Amino acid sequence: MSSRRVKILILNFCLFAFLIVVRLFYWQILQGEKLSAQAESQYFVEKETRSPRGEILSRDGFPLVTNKPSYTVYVTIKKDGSDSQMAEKIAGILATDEQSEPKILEEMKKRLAVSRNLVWVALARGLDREARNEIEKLSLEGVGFEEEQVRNYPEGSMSAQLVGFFGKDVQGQDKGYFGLEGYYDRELRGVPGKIKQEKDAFGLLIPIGLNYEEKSTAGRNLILHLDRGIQYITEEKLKNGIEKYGAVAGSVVIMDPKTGGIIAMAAFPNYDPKSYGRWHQELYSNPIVAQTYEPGSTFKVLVMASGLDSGSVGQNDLCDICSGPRTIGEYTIRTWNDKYYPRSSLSDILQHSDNVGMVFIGDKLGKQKMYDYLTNFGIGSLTGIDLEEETIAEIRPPDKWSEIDLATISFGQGIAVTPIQMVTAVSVIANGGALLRPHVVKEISTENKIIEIPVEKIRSVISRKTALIIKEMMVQAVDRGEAKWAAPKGYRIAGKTGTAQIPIAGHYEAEKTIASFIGFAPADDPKFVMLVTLREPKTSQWGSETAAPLWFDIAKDIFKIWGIAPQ
Amino acid sequence: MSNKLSIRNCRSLKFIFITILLLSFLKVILSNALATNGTIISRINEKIATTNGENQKLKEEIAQLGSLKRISQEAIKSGFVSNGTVVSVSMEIPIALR
Repeated sequence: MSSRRVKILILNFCLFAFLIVVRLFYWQILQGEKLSAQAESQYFVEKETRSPRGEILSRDGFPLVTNKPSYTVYVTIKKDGSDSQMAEKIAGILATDEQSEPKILEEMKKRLAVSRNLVWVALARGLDREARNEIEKLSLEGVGFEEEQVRNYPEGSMSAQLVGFFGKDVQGQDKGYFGLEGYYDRELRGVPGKIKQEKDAFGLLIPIGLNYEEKSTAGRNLILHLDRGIQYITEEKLKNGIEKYGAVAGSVVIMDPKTGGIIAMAAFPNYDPKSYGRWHQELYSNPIVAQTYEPGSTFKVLVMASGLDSGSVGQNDLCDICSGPRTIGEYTIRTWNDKYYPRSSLSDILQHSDNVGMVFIGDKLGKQKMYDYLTNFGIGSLTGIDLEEETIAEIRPPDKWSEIDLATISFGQGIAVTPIQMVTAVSVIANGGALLRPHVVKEISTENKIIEIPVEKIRSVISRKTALIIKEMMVQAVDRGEAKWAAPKGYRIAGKTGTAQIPIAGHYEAEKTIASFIGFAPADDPKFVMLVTLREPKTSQWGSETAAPLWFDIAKDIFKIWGIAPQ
Repeated sequence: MSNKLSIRNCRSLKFIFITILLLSFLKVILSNALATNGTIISRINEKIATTNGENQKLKEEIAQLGSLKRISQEAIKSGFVSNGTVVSVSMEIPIALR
């Protein structure tokens, strides 16, 4: 063999080897990742394990919000048009009555018509288990289901604005909005897991093969302070009360003054969290934490407590300006019924809900002390309640108050609060002087432990002695005040009515009021503090004739449920 | 001396060879026995999924039946009415007035 032929042969070998190297480089380096992924998909089966969203339970462990499966039914597009016949059969099952069937069918046919060039199309969403079983019984070829978990509300729209709702954000990711769903979204949300197992040629798992598992973590459950029975009664009574008194809206909040736990919280109008999209967005936020109002006479108990605790007025002091209206600059301050009680005691001032008497207390307190005490009561700052949409109702600094501001604030006008701020502040009087952070959630439970939310004392606001004096004044206000006719006999209840005018476009509307009643019972060992507000009641504008009877009506049922006997 | 060493080496080699043979045989038997377990595991997984589904369904039913809305509707249907008056017995000891 000539040396030239040998050289050619060697060159060919080298070229061949080079081509192999190039091909290997292509497979291993350039396409390596893709090919190994392809191979992995042949060897392994990978599944995502669900992580259910945490439940929201009332204090008795009953689920207020839980999860249930929801199905999407899809059909494979068929060239012969037999999918339309399938749609007809499915529409027959999904229709609730004869009128709805053509509508459902029309919608399905529209979907089929626009999806002719696709492989499959979703015919209907949000099917329950029963509908799925019915469709499965038809044994239709090319029909399948996709499961997803949705929120289930066994008590319907009960405490809707308290729990919030569960939807999707702009990126299509699951997210809780408003109330507890919004505030505790991270706790409620679980972490999905992954299982990767080796499979054989038939797709069956190989027991001695490789297995990888990332465990899913279920969302945490929230156990509330909320008493389901009281919540139900409160909602029913409030609904009836709004109707009876012709109010445009109303709210009730009940709190345990010793722990800050929210026992019940209801507001109307509300919405159904199951179909939140159909309701106006204004209804989503909870007015008890997100809407401010001028508290009117219910605020007088806080100003009176401030006056007594600071020593600005003494328990036996008499009002020396109460014999007639009080004029401050161009304004004249009158009592609500234009009746005047000269030399009223402090207890009389509260009992008569005397505006002039409160101006007397305000004058004695002065701007700075009044401001300091009100801010200590939590007015002007967030209460820190565990609900997403709490709004701050700011209070102007005292150097910006004029004389008339000091006077009107002393009887609860010209200052805005949220209902939750009012209840938290009056709890200070009920529990002997401590401002507690209000809490809806009592415990957070995970798979293996329970995290208890501790009672959180923010600060001491008034002395125990002052709290006792104010409590007695509030008891007198109930026993001898305008609302005494509605109070249940035999119970010592501390309370105060309120009728506040509503500021509209820079002035107060004479006829439009917010009627309210705040109080606690039993006065000597308070089990609850409750605030009832009714916006623009028509039958009477007064709190003593609308909110107070509603308050006592709810309280009577609480006494029955908790077995609180009259004294 | 060298003969003794080669006999010992030969024995060791035999032992290793037999061990390998036995272990290979054992692996074949075990793999064979476990090969069909994939089907069993799939069936068990299906059962777990079904049981979980049924548990969830039962939980839903309990919640639905226990809801106060339903109970109050049932109570009204059955003719129950709320008791407006509550009688409470005083704990005070009765005394003669005169």
